[in-house]
Amino acid sequence: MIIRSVEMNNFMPYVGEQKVSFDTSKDHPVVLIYGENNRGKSSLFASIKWAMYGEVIDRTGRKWLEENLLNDSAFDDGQRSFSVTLALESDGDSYLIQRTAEVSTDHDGNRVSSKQKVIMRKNSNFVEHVEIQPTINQIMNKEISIFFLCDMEVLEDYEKLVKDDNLAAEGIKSAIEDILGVPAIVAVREALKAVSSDAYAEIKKNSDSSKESTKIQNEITLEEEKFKKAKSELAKAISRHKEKEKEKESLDKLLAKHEQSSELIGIEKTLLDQEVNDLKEIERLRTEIQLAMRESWWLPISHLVESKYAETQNATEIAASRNSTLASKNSRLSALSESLESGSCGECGQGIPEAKKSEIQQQIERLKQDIAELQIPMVPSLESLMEESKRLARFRVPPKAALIRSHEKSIRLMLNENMKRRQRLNDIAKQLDGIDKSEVQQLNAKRHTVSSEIGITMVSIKTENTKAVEAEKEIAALQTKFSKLQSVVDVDEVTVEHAVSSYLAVIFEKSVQNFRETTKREVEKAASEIFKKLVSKNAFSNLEINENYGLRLVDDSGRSFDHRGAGVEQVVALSLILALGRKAVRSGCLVLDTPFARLDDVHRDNILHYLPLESEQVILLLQSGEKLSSKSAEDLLPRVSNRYQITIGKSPKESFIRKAV
Amino acid sequence: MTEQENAQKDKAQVGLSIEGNDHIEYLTKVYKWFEDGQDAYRTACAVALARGFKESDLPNVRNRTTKYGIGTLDPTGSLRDLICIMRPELSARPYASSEWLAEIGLNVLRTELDTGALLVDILEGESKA
Repeated sequence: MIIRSVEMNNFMPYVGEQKVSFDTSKDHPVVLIYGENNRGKSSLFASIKWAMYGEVIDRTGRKWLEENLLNDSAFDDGQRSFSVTLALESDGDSYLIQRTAEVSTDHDGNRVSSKQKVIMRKNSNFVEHVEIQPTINQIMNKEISIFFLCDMEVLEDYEKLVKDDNLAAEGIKSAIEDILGVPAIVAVREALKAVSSDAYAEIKKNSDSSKESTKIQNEITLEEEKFKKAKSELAKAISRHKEKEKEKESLDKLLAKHEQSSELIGIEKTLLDQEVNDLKEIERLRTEIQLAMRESWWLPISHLVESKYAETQNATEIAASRNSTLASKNSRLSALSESLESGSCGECGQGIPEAKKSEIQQQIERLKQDIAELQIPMVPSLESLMEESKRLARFRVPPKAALIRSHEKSIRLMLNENMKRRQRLNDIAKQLDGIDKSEVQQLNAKRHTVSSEIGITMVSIKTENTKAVEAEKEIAALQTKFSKLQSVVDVDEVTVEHAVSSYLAVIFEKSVQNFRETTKREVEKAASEIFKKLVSKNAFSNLEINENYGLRLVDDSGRSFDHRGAGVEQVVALSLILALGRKAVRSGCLVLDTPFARLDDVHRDNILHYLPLESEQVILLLQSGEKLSSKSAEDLLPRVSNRYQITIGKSPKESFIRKAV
Repeated sequence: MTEQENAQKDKAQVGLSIEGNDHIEYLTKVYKWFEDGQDAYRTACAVALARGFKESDLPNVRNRTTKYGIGTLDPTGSLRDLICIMRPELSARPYASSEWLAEIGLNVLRTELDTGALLVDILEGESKA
């Protein structure tokens, strides 16, 4: 990245519009900006960072409230906006970043907030808003920026690198690796892994799809066979159908000539069928009547049997009652006779008075008389009556007159119907006299057969057509499925892709490690080399780089120096920055804010001598007091493109930057 | 006279005249109201008994010939019992009496059927004939 210009408007101490051009070239890569303390060197430095990343961090690490970035004088004049426009070049493209902020105030006129807006152009074309920050990060990632936009009074970020276990160093390490191009190779490795993984998935899928493909092809073949068969059967059925239709037509023509006789023959057949059915029914009913007659042949006399049975039952009851009365009277006679003979009551045992005895005698006489009457033999006897009842009971089985009547009536109706039918048949026979009935019947039978066959062929046509349509649909579905499978990348190609990508991924894995290690060693070597050139005394043999790209000083015997002075720290940091700049995949500007604050003249001369050789563009923000030695002036000034001086305005809140003479 | 003595005196086979046979032929083959002649014979006896016919009512018949054995005609003795119960005066020789009862009954059946009467009406004695 090369910075072409910075244009500030009411930014921090810079009131109004102020533009700084950095017209550096290969031979004149240096820009010198002088300023007193607290005049605006770091603000100029901050303007570059704010334009790129939208924030300003102070030297304590705190973020500035954006509304406070508005110049105080401008604010007092009622202006509420400030901006920075940065012109850059990177990889042959020119960029313009313009960041503006609108400051809001409360009722009391105090600044309360700000609203930021940024626009960007790439080669005069506007970059879409969402793409602005990613584009800036692509030019120079914020994490990386500490190594190119360096505030040399803040060495904490660089000191972090020294400690291996510092988590914060991870971010810086990542930034360094980014500068060195490690992410690119890592990305390639990851891409290869992804390709390998995708290829494997593809192979697996292809393996499955290959089986599936064969299966589908077989299914298609089967369905095609089904389709062909169905089509063939359909054609046959249609042909048969046509034949039968023709046959039916010709039969219809023939039958038309015999239309009347044909109708009569039809009626005759129906009548004959009905007659047969009726005769069968009559036969069935007659059989039932015959059975009924066998089982109740006494039906004609059943009513007399019933009367006789009732009479017999009545007589039996009378006879039984008479016998009972006789037995009772005999018993009474016997008891009275005994009482009279003994002179005492047979029941209570008391003596019978004389006056009572004649009365008992009279009773005995009456009983004897009754018994004599009852003993006259009955005809028929009770036994014979009971026997007769028993015999009559056999004929009391319910006769089947109702069934016989119902059946007989049905038979009679059917016989009458049959007679009429027979008459009709005779009439038909007369009308058909002289006609070859068998011929007409044959024609009719044939027509009936042909009609049935037409019905069958219709069903066949429908069935085969359905089969064909279904097979066709199935084929289409399978072919779609098959074509989808076929669209998958060729199996061999994928297999090779997998093999190659897997192999390359392994290689790249090793390459990443090697690259990291090599780059680290190269950075270490370059840093050591630079450091040796920058330091005043060659007291230390080397800088040793740790896992996080932190550098520590080691002597010839390998002992490290953990406690370093501020100046040495700054030189170590610069050594690393310059080493990274040398090894960076994209070299560019180097903006150093107050790089010599902690350094003595010798170190300063060394650095000023060395810096232009290491960077494409070097912007040095120097204190006005930092006078160049004659040696430095001799080395540096021929390489300076522009010199600027930051001056104070009427108000201490106003700074101006002007080209220095 | 006991039943056993009566049975000894009664017929073991019964016969029918030519007319009787003719009637049976008609009733079984033409009218088909009876499966066989013995069913017609028994029913004809019942018809005659029901209508109180006497032997003297028997029309002129010719050449009575043996037709059925009693063992097959009346295996349970129900025909005999019915005759004896309903016409005690015939109880001496019920099977012998059955011959003229059957002849009369068959004639009634045939005659009335020929007039178009329903069999059931003839059997129930309600024939208009």
